[in-house]
Amino acid sequence: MNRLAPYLLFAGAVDSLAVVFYVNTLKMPKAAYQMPRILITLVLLLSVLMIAEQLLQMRKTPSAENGNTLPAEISPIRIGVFVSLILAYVLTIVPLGYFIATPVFLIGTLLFLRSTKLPWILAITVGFTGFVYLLFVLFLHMPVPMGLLG
Amino acid sequence: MIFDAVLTGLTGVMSPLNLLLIAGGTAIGIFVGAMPGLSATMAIALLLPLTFPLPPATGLSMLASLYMGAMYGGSIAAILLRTPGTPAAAATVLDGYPMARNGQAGKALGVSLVASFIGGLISSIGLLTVAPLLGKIALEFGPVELFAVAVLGLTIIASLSRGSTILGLLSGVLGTLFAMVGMDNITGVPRFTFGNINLFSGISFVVALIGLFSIPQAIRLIERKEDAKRELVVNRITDKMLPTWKEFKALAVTIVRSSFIGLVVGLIPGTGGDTACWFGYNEAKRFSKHKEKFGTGIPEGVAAAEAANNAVVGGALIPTISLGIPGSSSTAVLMGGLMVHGIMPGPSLMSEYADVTYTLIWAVVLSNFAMLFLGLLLTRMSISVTRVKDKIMAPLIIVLCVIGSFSINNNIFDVILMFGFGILGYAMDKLKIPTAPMVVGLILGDMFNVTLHQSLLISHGSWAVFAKNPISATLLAIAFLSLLQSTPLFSWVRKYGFAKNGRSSNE
Repeated sequence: MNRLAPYLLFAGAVDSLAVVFYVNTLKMPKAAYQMPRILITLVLLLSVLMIAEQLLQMRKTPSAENGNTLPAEISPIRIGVFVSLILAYVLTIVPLGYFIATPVFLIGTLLFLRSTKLPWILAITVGFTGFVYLLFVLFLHMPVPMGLLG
Repeated sequence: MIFDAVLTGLTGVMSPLNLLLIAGGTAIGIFVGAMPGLSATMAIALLLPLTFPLPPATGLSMLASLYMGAMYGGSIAAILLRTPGTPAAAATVLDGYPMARNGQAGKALGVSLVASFIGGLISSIGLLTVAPLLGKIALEFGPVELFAVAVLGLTIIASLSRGSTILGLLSGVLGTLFAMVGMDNITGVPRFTFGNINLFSGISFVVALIGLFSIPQAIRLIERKEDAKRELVVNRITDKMLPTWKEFKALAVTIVRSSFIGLVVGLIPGTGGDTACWFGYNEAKRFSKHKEKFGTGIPEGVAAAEAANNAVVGGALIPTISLGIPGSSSTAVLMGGLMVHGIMPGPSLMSEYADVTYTLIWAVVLSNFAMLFLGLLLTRMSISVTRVKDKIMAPLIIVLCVIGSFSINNNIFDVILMFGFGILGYAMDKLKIPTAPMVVGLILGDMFNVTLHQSLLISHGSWAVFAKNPISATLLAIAFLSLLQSTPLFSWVRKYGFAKNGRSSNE
């Protein structure tokens, strides 16, 4: 991937957000839209400057122009699976509850990462799930989702 | 009045619960600092939800102590593993690791602990004396001056953050734009909520912090195909930790010099322990009679770096407390701790919330003593912590992120938002866009909005009010210069100017 491409993607995303926000300000009174519109203008301006700066840098260091943005030792698959596991955990914690979703996430992730042997994985899972429950619920009286067990 | 507030803070900090949590926070900080890959900022962000049920002063005291403890903890991994536990301990590696290899691991850690203690103590005293005075001046500020202070804070942190100023500014402006989400304080109009009731009260600052600082860190821990190899230079510390009086006397000047360097570096928003440790180390080398020995394993090198990075804590808290402008990402997160208790950043911290603020300042002072005591007790134990694998830590961090962000409002929307900010933070990290300015923007967003509105009301809509007011004009000029100095134009002018001067002097 071209070195500029991720910056173009980022600029595209923040500019789209800025445009959506701008459209939203059309319905607001002046006192409410004044500050956001200044910021929206700055976001659009700075994203253009960011691209210009990257282009200038690419001209200065042309050898890296078409280089891969990720260093060879970084594994996109590992990152992708880990992020997917986090997302699955986030989306299932309310329906399943803390006591089901957390151990499943921990065991699944620790196994996927080949972090240690299975008995240790089980011990870490049970110990940490219990520790967090003790700390948040019993000690600090803060809520955790109970889901199916609620 | 200030003296009364100082005494109130001292009385407040002496409660058994506060003392217990200062010790607890310091111990957690030492362990977190000792683990390579985990930062103090991340630990403070993760522990922030735990402070909700506690009184504000107690919760903040714990977080400030964690910050102090982590600064020392970073040196443990630096000395024993040749990998700094935190970026602030990078310069400690140069002499700490060779000392450990020469069989002086205990002595290196002891010098680091004593230097950290003195550095932290000097900066705490600086905080206790400078912050109230600066806060008193800041109390005279009206909306026009406060708007200029906020602009200055954001531009300085953007221009001094690592990487380009444009990227820093973009990050800061985006953070400020995110702070506009929710019900407008002035008009009561909902902004950028898109009908989602969860966004009416705005983007939860803590949720954004947890996402921005913890999720990217967890992903970074597992992103490599091969795990980082960590080989401890010693399995056990066998030599004496504390330096003798003679050894201490030889280091005293270096420690005091580095402490003042750290204090000043901490004062400047955008610079932190990572800058201070190198600055302190280089100055110690420059003043030393035996420069050639630096890097071969001498206590002076360890003391210089460690006194400077711990002295940053008090320095960074001075603008945070007196002006409401965080000096570093860690103090920005600490400020988030104030905000979750309904305490808004700004000059009112020193007057309206004097009890909380002065208790926090005293907690920073006391955390140094806790660090010295617990450092002697826990350093040998923390060797085992440095062995914890990254791929075990990463999922545990995620669980704390999810449960912490859920427990704030008992709401899954916050968890999804935290995840979104986490992915954004990781993407920004890969693009070398600093996240600290975004956090500062999120904090200062409300101040920007309110003070701009009030200033324009005072001036009947005239923007010239910012130029006519001498304080705001000066602050805005400094902000403009701080941006200008990082542009190609400035380096061109400097190059051209120097070339011209050089020619004339040669002539």
